[in-house]
Amino acid sequence: MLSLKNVTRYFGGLTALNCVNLEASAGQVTGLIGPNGAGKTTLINNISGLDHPNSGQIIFNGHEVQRMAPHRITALGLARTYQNIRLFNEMTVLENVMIAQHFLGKSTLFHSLLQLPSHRKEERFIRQKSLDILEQFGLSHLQNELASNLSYGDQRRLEMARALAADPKMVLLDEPTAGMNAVETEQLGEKILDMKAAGIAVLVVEHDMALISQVCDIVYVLNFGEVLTVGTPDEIKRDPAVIEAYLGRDE
Amino acid sequence: MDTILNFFDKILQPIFEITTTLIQPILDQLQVIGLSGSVVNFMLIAAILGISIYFTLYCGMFSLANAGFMAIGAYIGAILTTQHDASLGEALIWGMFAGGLIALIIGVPMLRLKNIYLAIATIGFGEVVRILIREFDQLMGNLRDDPTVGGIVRDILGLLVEDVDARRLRITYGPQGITRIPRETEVAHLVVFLLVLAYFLYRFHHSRMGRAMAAIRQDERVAASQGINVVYYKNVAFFIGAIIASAAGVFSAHTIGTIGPEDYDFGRAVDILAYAVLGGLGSWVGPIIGGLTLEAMPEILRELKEYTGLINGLILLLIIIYLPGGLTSLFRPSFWLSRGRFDTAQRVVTAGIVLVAICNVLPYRLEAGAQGRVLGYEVWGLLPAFISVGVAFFLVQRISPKPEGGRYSVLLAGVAAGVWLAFLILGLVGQIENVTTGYYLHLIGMALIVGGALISYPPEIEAASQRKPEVA
Ligand SMILES: Nc1ncnc2c1ncn2[C@@H]1O[C@H](COP(=O)(O)OP(=O)(O)OP(=O)(O)O)[C@@H](O)[C@H]1O
Ligand SMILES: [Mg+2]
Repeated sequence: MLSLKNVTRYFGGLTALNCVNLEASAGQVTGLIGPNGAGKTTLINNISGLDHPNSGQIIFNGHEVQRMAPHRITALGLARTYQNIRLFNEMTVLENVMIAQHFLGKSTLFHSLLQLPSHRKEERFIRQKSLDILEQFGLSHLQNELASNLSYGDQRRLEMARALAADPKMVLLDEPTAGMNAVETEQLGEKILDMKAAGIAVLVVEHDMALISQVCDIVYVLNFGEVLTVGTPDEIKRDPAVIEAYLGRDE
Repeated sequence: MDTILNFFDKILQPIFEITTTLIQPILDQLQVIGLSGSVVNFMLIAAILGISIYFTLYCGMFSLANAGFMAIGAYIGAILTTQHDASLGEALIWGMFAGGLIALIIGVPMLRLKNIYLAIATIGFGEVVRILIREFDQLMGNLRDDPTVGGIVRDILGLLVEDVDARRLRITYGPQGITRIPRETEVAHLVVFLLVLAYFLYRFHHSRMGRAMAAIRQDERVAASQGINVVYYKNVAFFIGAIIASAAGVFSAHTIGTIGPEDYDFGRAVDILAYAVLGGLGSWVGPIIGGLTLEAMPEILRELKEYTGLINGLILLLIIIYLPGGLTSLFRPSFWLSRGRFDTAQRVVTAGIVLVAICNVLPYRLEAGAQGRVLGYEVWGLLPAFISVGVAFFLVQRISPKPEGGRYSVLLAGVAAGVWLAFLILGLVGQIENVTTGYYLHLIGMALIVGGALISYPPEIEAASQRKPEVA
């Protein structure tokens, strides 16, 4: 589904990603861990087209995407969430989810001006589907609330709902449980396993080792922009190099 | 082309006639407060201009290019009607076409810029248009006589003037501008155009495109990774804004009858921005209300006409500071209710103060208030007293520590207004037959102040605000 080959990204003199190779496949949850500043978010930005690598190749769903505009990568079936929540705060919860289905729609402003049946049908369809997704995430009672009025946990859930709204083939989750308590984290883990069961490829960046053990099939450890090791969650936990990388940072 | 235009004429003519009859009562009312003739046209044109910049702002782009597009529309339209006997309808179509075409050409390179850089580039565009128009005849004359490009230039000029070979070209008439443009724009044309635009805007908000543009404004990068083609929608918004501004240009040229390049300078670009900001960007009514109000203001305040610029500037400043959502936010219940009782009280009092202040100016325009007297009290005599209360209200609020400052100020305003209200009511009992609209508004304003002061007591205990955890 996703394959990175020698992806390298510099910011000035700083090498945020150095020859990263990574594979993620459908129906599998791939974990990505690493100390702060390791380059995890940079990696996700490069895959989703918000940032582009200086060299290397990113192949998603059979297409080379390393130079593609983000909206085209999304159309290939990629969706993501953000480390620091980025919802459309002036929109309602429902609209936030509807936006994600934008590129699936075809109706133009003229369809809307003339209220053509095709436009109404499409709007109804998008609305209904968005409501279904909100239902799944237990947010339907908040559908007309502004996104900015939601509690922190609900905002995280909404971001996730928005990511799933466009029927993606792959989802990138950047620290989805940041700021959540243990119960909420575990519930979110269930959601991730649901995605996996639905055949979606999931790449999840996390600091919470409990969640990593709960959901991941394979874990990549990133340190200073390089892949330190790859393995199952249990192997990773025992790996001395990983332990050192984590102990080496102050926290 | 002609048959199509005739067809439209047949449909539109009755619509214009019906509109004219329907709006007559409103026009009569406006005349009472001093708004008549071409002033009404300019108000409606301002509303159209407000909508033109609304589109770019809605998409998160700070573009000041619309004065330039207005100039393009005005000049193309005026050239067609003065030199080619075109009808207003034809002028409108070609003016909008030209504006749209230029928007498409400059949009792609220019809209890569953001924020202040985009603002500067679009100001530059406006200036280039203005100067090109001013030097157009000279420049084209030189190009025409040039051996290499002369042929093409001649062909293009052929579209604009009959006598391409005249020794001195006369197309835009340099700095003097074009005069004797037929003054064919009628209020009904503008009302119909504005209604169509309003419907367009209303639908726009609920369309797929409207949602996409709102998303781009709120977070361009997230919008892009939600599958929205940011570059495309930015260009569409710019294009729509440009054709609407061009239409406004055609209408305004055919209202004034004379246009010059200086009519479309930087000041005009700022005015257009002001319409949208004053009205508020929250809904489609905003730019319409903003345009109408700001354009009507100098006429209503005719006695203060020389200070128009100052007053408009002050109003804008106050709106930006105290009402970031623009005038339309006043009509939202959430504006009054969302922030707890004390905030509501403060807002109600402020609204009352503003209303009374307006009433103190308006009586000159409202029916019997024209005598400048409200039940025996000189309005202008009361004004200083009132201003001092208002100023005290805001000063106390600013100077003393929160939240006591707010409480004292509301109390102060409430007591002052209460005394005054008593005076007015006593007066009313005596001379019920002289009551004017302005007087009632006055009473409502006062009642708001007193009411606001009352609901702010007893002071409620501030609820600890629920804060969301910050994440790095
Ligand atoms: N746009 C940018 N310009 C310059 N430097 C950047 C940029 N984005 C990231 N960096 C740098 O690249 C390095 C990797 O950052 P990144 O955000 O990818 O880390 P991370 O692994 O996501 O860390 P965290 O766990 O704190 O989220 C950091 O040193 C950061 O300062
Ligand atoms: Mg990160």
